[in-house]
Amino acid sequence: MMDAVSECIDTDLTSWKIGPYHGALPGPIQVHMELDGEIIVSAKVETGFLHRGLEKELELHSWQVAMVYVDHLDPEGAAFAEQVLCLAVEEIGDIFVPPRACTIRVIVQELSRISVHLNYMARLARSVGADTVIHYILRDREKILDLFELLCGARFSLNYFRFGGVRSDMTEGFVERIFELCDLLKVRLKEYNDLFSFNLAFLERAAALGILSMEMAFRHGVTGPNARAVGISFDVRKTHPYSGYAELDFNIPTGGGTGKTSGGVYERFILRIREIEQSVEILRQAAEKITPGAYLDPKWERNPSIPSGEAYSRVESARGLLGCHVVSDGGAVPNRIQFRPPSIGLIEVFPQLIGGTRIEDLPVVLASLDISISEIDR
Amino acid sequence: MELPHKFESLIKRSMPETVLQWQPFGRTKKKVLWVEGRFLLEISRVLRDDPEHCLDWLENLSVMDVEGALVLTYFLRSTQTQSSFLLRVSLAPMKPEDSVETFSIASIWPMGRRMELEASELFGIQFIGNHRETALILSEDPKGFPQRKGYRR
Repeated sequence: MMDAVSECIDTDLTSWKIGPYHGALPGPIQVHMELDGEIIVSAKVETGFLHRGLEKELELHSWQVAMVYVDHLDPEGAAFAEQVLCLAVEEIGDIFVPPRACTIRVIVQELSRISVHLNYMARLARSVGADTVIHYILRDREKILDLFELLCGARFSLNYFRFGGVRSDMTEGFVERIFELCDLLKVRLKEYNDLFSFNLAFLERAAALGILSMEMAFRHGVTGPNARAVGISFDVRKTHPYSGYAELDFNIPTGGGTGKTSGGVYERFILRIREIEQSVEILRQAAEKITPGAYLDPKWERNPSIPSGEAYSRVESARGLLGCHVVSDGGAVPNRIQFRPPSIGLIEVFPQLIGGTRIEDLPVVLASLDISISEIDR
Repeated sequence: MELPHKFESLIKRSMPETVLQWQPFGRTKKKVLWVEGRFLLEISRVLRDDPEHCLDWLENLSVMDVEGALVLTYFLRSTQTQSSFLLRVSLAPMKPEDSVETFSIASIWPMGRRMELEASELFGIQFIGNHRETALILSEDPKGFPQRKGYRR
C-alpha cells in the first residue's frame, strides 16, 4: 500500500486553520496547520478562548464559594476537582472526614470516571462515523447522570463535596441502583466491543494512528489513561491513595506492547474500556463496604474557618493527575488555589501526533486524547 | 514517599551555598528548599541527576503573590522511586507593575515548558530560555498581570 507521504503531489504548502468553534474540536481551540495536499505537515494550537480567570475568581470569594465554583475546572468530571480541593483544604484545616463520606466520594468519582470514559467513546465513535454505537453509549451514560440526580439533585456540576464530607447523605435506593448499574455495564461493555471495538474498519484505521511514544508522554508530562496506554503505570489511586482507595482491590490496566502500533488511538481507546471494567469493580466494592454513620462534620458545613497554611493534593481524574496547591492566610477567602490539570501535557503533545497524518484523521486523534479545554484555559 | 533528610545531606554535600532556608511544608513532614534564583538551574541539575533520588519529573509549578514577591514552587518527583521534593525561589519586582526574570527549567524538566509560559502570562515572569511567542491564555493584552494580587480590571 502506498503510504500517505509518497502520494503527495509536488505543490506548495498551504496554510489552514480550524476553530475555535468546530465540530471536530474538543472545545474552543484553534489549530493552525501547514498542509501538503491532504497531509498535515505541521500544526500549532492556539488556546485561551475559554479562559474564565477561575484561579483568580477563587481568590476573590469565600471558601464555600470556591467549593461550588471549582466544578467549572472541568464540568464533565466535576467530582475530581471537588475532591482535590477538599483534600488540600482538609489537610490545612486538619479536618476529619467520616468513613461513610469517604466511600460516597469514591462512588461519585468512579461514576464520574465511567461517565467521562463513555462520553469519550461516543466522541471517538462520532469522529470515525460509527453512529450506531453512540446512541447505546449515551443511553447508558444517562443512567449515571440519573444516579447523580438521585444523589444530589444535579446531573452535571454536582456541587456535592464539602470540606469534611459530602453535602447530603445517599438517598434511598441509591446503593441498589449502583449494583444494578454494575451488572448492566458488564453486559453493555461486551455490546460496545461487538459493535465498535472489534469493528475491523475502526481497528485498522485507529491502530497505527496518532502514535504516542513512552518518551513523548514522559517529556510532556502526560499522565492518566493516555500515559498508561503506552506503559507508564502511574496512577494516583495506587501511588498516593486517598479517600479509602487503599482499602479497595483493583488493578491499573496498562498497555504499551512492543509492536509498531503501540500507543496509538486504538490502544488509548481499549485502555479506557479496561478502566471502566476496573471502575465497575471499585463501585461494587465501595457499595458493599459502605457503613452507617455521619456523612459530614456539621461544624464545617457553614462558615468554615480555614487556618493559615498550605497543602498540595493530587487525585487521579478520568484524564490523569490533577494536582491542587492551596494556600490559606487564615482569612475568609483562599489566598491561592492553583491547579495542575492533566490536559496540560496533552495539548503540548497533540501537534506532534498529527504531523504526517491526513486531515481527516485530525478529529480522530483529538478525540482519542480526550483533552479538556476547560481545564487548560481555566 | 518523602525523603527530605536525604536530600538535605545531598544539598549540604554538593552545594551548601545555594540554600536560603529549609522550611516545613504545611502539616506534612515534607520540607521546602528555598534557594536563590541565580542557583536555580544548578541545583535543579543536581536534583535531577543524583542517581539515588533521580527527580526526573516536574509535576507542577505553582506561583503565588506573597506581599508583592512572587514565590515559585516546583513540585518534583521521581518516576523511579516515587519520592517527591519541593523547591522554591522568590522573585521581587522593582516596582509592582514590573515583570521579573528567572531561569527556565524547561531544559531540565521539559514538561515544565507550558507551566512556565502560563506563569509568564499571568504573573509577568520572564523565563530566560523559554520565550513565549503568542498568548496561551489571555486573548488580548490585559495591561498588567491578572494573577497578581494588585491587579485591577
